[in-house]
Amino acid sequence: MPQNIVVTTAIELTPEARGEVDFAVSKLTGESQVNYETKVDPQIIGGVRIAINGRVYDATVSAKLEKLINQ
Amino acid sequence: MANKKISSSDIASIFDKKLKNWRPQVEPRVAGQVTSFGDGVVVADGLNDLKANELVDLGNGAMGVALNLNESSVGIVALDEASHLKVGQMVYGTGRVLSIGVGNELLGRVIDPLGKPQDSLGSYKVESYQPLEKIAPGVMSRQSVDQPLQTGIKAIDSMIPIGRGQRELIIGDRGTGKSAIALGTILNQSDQNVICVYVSIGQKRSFLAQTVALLKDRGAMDYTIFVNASASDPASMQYLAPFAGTTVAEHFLAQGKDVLIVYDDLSKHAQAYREISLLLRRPSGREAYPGDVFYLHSRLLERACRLNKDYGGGSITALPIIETQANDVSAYIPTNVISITDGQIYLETDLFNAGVRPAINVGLSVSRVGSAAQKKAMKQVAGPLKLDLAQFRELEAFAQFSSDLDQATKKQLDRGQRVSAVLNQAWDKPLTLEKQVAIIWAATRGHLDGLKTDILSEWETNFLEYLDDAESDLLAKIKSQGKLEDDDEKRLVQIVTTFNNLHPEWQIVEEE
Amino acid sequence: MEIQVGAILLQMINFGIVVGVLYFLLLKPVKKILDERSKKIEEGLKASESAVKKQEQLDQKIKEAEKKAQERAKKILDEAKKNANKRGDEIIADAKRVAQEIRLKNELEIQTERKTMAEEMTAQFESTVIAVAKAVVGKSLSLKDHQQLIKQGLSEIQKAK
Repeated sequence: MPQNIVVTTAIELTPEARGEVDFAVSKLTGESQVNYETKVDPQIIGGVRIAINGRVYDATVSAKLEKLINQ
Repeated sequence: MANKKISSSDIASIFDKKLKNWRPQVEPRVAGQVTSFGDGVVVADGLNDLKANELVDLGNGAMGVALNLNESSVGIVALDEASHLKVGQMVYGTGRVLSIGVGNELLGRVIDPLGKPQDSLGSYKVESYQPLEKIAPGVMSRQSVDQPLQTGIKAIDSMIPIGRGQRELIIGDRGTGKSAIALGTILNQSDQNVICVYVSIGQKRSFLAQTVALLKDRGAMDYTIFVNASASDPASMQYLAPFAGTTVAEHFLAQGKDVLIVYDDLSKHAQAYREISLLLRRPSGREAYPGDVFYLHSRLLERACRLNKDYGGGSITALPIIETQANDVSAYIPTNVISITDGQIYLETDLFNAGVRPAINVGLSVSRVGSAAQKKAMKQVAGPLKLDLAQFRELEAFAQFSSDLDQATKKQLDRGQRVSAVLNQAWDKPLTLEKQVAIIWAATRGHLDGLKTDILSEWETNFLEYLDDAESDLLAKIKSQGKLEDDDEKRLVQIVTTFNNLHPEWQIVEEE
Repeated sequence: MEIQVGAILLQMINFGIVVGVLYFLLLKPVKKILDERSKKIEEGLKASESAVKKQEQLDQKIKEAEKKAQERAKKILDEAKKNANKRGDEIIADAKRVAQEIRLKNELEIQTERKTMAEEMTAQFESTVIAVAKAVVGKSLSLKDHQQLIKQGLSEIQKAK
């Protein structure tokens, strides 16, 4: 089933970082070949957010700050 | 407190507390993107794993309920203004089904359907979070209704008695006194060990403020909870209010207590549900109501029940209120709710305007639980009452010509007039069982037949005072025994005759 | 002139007869009448005496009754005064209690007001600080910091799975 994967970071991904992201995404989906879309959004301040088929894994700094404030 | 200077140590201390609980973990959330938003309905795509009735986080503290689950999109009803929502914004599922925090500290409070306090008395201690939608108790956990719920209103307690665990509909046009009956019943529960929940759906806030002030004045707020979704609240809140109220009531039911819940009113509830359904593009049926509007009310009212000993022995008595248009009880929603409830109290504008208050049409009103939920004393005196009144109504048309009628008919008319007059009552002056028994006994045994008709309310007030002053032991005896012995009746004869003789100015003087 | 003794005797007998007749015809009835009258007068006097005595007795009784009524009135008045005092005390105690309740309720209201205000203020303050932190942190991150954050984020995500 074609998966809709979006990876959002605060800055443009360096090749090294891209490799790490590949690894992480393949681990998440259990597939060796992964196609994903990348987005750059300074609003997240830092960190990375991976959305797979509507399931969102949010490890961005902004999300952590939101969680902190809403506890 | 307002002038405290903020220092860096304050900042540190605030965040110390929060950082202690901060778990830097990533939890996967179900997310979707808003594709349209209007009239309180948010359509988002994504959100694949969402469950029905799940709470959706719309950002900025706003919440919504997922009501329509489609293959590629979800219809979410916003539970408050959510004015910050933009198309393209992410919304997240919370994994929680819609629930409300309940606890014993709710007594005396006014809350909204999500549990937020509306009376600016701060937050209440939440003992547990209970879902708003629950399946009603099964057949085997129930028991038949056999304990009376005293409304304090003579006309109801004598002829249309309500039991604990029953659902009794109060139906009538606007301005006929439906809310007044419900409030009068709440006022009467002060010594009955019954907790009251008043769910206000689409009512004016001024009415609510008045009501809360009145109950506070009479000391009734100690055992009453208000769940409020007034006319200016979103339709989603008005839709959820009765379910929230029932969940609160079930918290006390689980403790084995008796609860009275008033839904004021379910007509506005159905209208709010119709509004939401139409905005969610659900197909409409009769009178533009969605197809499941019957299920809406039936699943709500089935949660009012009497549980047997094994489940605590508590009960929830429901008094739903329906407003009819032009006395039309055969409209869609009224017929639905009539078929669900265990009886109805039918209020008529004509009776109200004619001065009969409460304006109960005794012929059309019924209680399917009936005398199984009446104390023996009331059964003994109220037996002939309904018949007397029915016969009186038959003859009433001839009342204009009363001088041309035979003795027996005239006697019937006189008796009927007096019995009718004795059933009139101010809505905020509930009577205890023993006083009701005494007055109805006097009326049905003919002790009022010799009195003028226009002084009957005065007679009643004074008679009750007299009973309180001089014969309070008889009242206490009736209360504790629950029935009338022969010598109680003899004493009553004495008392009434003595009292009537004290006031010769009230007797009818036979003119030759 | 010759006094006829025989005529005088006749006159004396005549007189005697007249007296005798008058005696029986007049005196006796008159005496009877006088007797009756004096008897009546006596009775009248006796009756008036007893009436006076009765009157005195009645007066006495009235005086006694008056005295009793006064005593009873006084007793009622005393009772009423005592009750009024007791009522007065009760009313004062009630009023004191109500005033106390009102004071407590007001204090409670003030406390809850303070608490909610403090809570609101803290919440606002927190959000302001976070907003500031966001702005500040965003500007001060270097490329290396970003790399580090991305790496850290990825490992957290994998741990979550």
